Amino acid sequence: MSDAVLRVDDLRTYFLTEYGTVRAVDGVSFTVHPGEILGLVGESGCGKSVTARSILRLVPPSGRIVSGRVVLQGRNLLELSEAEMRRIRGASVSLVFQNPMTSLNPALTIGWQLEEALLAHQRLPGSMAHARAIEALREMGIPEPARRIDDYPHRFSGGMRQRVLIAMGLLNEPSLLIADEPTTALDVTIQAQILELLRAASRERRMAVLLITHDLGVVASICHRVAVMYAGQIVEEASVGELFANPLHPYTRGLLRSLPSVSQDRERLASMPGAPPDMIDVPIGCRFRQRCVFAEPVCETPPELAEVPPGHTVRCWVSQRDGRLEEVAG
Amino acid sequence: MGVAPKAADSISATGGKRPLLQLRGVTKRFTLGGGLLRPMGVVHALNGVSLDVLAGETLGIVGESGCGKSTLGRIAVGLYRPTTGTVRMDGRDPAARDSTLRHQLQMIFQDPAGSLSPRMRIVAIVAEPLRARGAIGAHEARRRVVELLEMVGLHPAMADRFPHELSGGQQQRVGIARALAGDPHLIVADEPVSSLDVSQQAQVLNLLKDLQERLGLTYLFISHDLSVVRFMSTRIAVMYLGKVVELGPAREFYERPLHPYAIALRSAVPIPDPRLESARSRIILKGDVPSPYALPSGCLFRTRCPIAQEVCARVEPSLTEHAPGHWAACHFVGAFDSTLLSSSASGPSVTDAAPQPRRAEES
Repeated sequence: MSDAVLRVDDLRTYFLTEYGTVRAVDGVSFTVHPGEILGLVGESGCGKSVTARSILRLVPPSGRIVSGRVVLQGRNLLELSEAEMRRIRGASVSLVFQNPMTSLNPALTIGWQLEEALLAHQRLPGSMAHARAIEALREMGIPEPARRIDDYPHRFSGGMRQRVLIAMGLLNEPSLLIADEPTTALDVTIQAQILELLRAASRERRMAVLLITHDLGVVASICHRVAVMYAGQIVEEASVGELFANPLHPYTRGLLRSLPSVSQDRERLASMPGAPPDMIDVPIGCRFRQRCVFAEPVCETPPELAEVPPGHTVRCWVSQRDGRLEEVAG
Repeated sequence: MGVAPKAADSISATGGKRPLLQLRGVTKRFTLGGGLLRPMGVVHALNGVSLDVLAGETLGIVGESGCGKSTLGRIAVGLYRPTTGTVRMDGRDPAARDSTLRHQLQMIFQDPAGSLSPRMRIVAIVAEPLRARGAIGAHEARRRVVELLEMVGLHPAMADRFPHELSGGQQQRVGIARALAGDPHLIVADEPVSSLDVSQQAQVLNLLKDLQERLGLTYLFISHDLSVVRFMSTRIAVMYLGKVVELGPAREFYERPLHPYAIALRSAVPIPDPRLESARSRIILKGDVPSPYALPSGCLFRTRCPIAQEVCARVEPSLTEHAPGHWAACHFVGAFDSTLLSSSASGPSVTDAAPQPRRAEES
């Protein structure tokens, strides 16, 4: 395996609130390799977006990265100065946000915004920046890019704006693209277009992608590996094929079983009881145990991630011991 | 413009079940803007919809943003009046001031937090439809509310809480309890689970199915999520730019979609199973949905359709029956083979897509 583009080690990001400390990201570790798309999945509030923002040190003021390392191509980003960080954001690491409606400045043309992103990191004559911006739009499949480049964002549809944002994210040829729910606000036929663009960009440029999503269908269609987050921690990580065929964490299994299927008729959905825990008052031991049908007394001790089959790690005492999840009657 | 009346009449003949709600040639236009300096814009939200909702069924309405599915739902419950066309529930008009009809038609909204008043306790929210139906004592109202809360799986103690104290899933259960308080015959559910997380979504969908069985409810279930609609629905209507382009039994539709748009929509849904995902090719439509301010001539889908011909720009196809109860509005049904869905040919190109041999993969 080639060297990782990004290695996140025991990252912890806490928020200090008047009610107590929210441990939004609580010991998260993973790596992303060149040309690889890693999916980070979980439900709202599991800490997946805070993880993405922590990598770029864009955590809101009430949050603090309390420990860990974020190593990008050998440099620990958490030790850099703010000026050094600014040279990295948008250059070697880009971030594409969920909402294409609010991520562009409505008062500036698309071209202005694309050229600004280029010129922030490269010394180029203006005419060349203009040409590069047009080319970037063309690569994203925007018709008549030379004409559209002088349009303002409101003249673009949601899918078109997301293309512009991805074009902007790719301008400086980043080695890592972080995409936070890039298709959640889009319709499915447009989502299919955008996912195809991301997949092609990653393959052609050998670019690492960290894809944050709640949609397991999106994960299955474009990711190579997947990490599942629950209550601030990664609870399971494996290749996409392995995770969907052999989910070892009860939470992962519950998520997969609670999904309605477009290709099968189902009478009932297997729903998990309860809801994710309050992040101020996280249960002692396994954070999922109060909702877990497999829970045993041992689960009151916090489980660590361990490799069960090779390349497949899981944070669950029961499946670590048994190598699988035994079906529970009823 | 509009569905041919001949076709529309025969829609009601299918199934043998009693139509509870009938829409005939319904159009809805919204005029926007229009000032001293600006010309008025007309949004063509619905462009001739004829549908029957049969008693006891769940009719799923799918389509992408702006296709008119929410407008259709609001017209069905009488919140909007159609510009032209008629809506009848048991022979009466839902938009008329007829309180007995009004409570038989209830709605569940997408945003559970936004559809519950933040200043009212749950008991008052759920009791409101009860009061609207006539004088009811506080004690009796409370007894009914507790009954309704239990029916939707909420603890009676929730009655004295405010909406912000509840999770999204619990708020949506309150929305359902409020809809049930009217003793409805038809419930229009407009994206009822799209703001919920997967685990909450499964709980609410199961609840809606249970309630339908227990209370004999009829649902008009609106969603952009084809997996959710498949789980819920007996029949499906696919909408595009304010028209129904395909209508059929749920399983028929998912296994043999007829309209090119329905085929593409079906193929665009990512399946949470990497083996199926790597085995299939996706039909990727070019471009975006045209603006509802300026509709294309002829077939509304032709600007993105991979098999559009010259005739599609001239003649608007009407909804016609291709298999028992399975209707589509396309001049070339069958030309765009739905077996493409299961071919393993890679590449997103649609223009050079040729029919591929069917592979057994999605079963």
